Amino acid sequence: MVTEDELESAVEPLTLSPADAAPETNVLSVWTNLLEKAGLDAAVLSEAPLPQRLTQIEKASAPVKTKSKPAISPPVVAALPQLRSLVLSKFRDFPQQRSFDFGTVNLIFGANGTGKTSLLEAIELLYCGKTKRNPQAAEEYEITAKFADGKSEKASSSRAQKTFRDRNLAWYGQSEVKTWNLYLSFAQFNFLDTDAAVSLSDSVENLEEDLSKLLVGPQASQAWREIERMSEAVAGKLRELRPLQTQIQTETTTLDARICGQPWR
Amino acid sequence: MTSNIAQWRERLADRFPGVEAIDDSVLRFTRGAVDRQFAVYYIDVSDHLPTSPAELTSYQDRVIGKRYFDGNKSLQWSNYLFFVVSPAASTPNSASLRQLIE
Repeated sequence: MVTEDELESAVEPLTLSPADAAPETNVLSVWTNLLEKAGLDAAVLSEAPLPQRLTQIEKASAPVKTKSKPAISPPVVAALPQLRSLVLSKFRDFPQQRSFDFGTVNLIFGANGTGKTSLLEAIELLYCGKTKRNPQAAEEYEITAKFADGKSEKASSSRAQKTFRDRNLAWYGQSEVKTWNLYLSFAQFNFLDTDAAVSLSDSVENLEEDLSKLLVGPQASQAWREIERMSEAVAGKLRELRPLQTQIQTETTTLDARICGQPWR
Repeated sequence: MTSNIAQWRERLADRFPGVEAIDDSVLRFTRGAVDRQFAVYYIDVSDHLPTSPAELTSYQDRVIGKRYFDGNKSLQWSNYLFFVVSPAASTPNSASLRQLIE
């Protein structure tokens, strides 16, 4: 059911614009940069207990002057064309089949425990060097991939971290210095958080949280919660300190008056 | 008072040259972008709404049913039926009518 105006807007011509070649900066990087500028990143985004973090903020009352970082231009990382085949020379025991050809759309089937997920994780390792399911695992692998442009890549567990940082910046606009979070960005855009999706359709209680997990990813969603939590705590602390401020001001004024009243002035 | 079918047809014809009146009060057209069709729109301008599930079902059979398999297969997922109502038409039971349709 629509009114005439609503119908008009429903049939408005579509505006299609090509996506920018360079990805937009990831929202988490934006927040982190802002907090860094204010000298608050360590306090707000750390895992230390709240009181400790509040003390850190008090100490950082004068914004730390840091040299502004030069804008990072995304490194030149060739977009990988579609994956055409995969040969697992060294990789887990399953799947037992070691060579796979892919079409545009692929159906992967097999009994439980025969390596369907492992095959997908081999692809994840190829692109990200880590898997979302077990990022700590330092598993050895050697995978040869062929792409639609005829080129191939031999991927092994000895690749440099820089490869993945460059990819994370080029593909997802997330800059990293010491971390290795490409697998998180990759997961956010390639895997649907089905738990959040199911929960979204089931209840309205955690609507905001589930939506944010789906839309911006759990990392950004967690950072936002931390920012909110800290901001509440800081506001509370401020309220606590206000009377003290008033008291000190009164005392200063009284003292000033006394000094002014001294005969030697 | 809503516009009549001829007025609507005229308004939509620029944007959707294929717009056709499939009966006295329903217009149908296909939307596309970059020579690919992506949706079929049905616009009912009668200012009358089906009032029971049975009426709604027979309405859909009559209006959409025989055209449902026209065009690309993927279009079957993208049929949109709009009932144009005047803003004043919010009667006490319009909420339940909306619920029935949606």
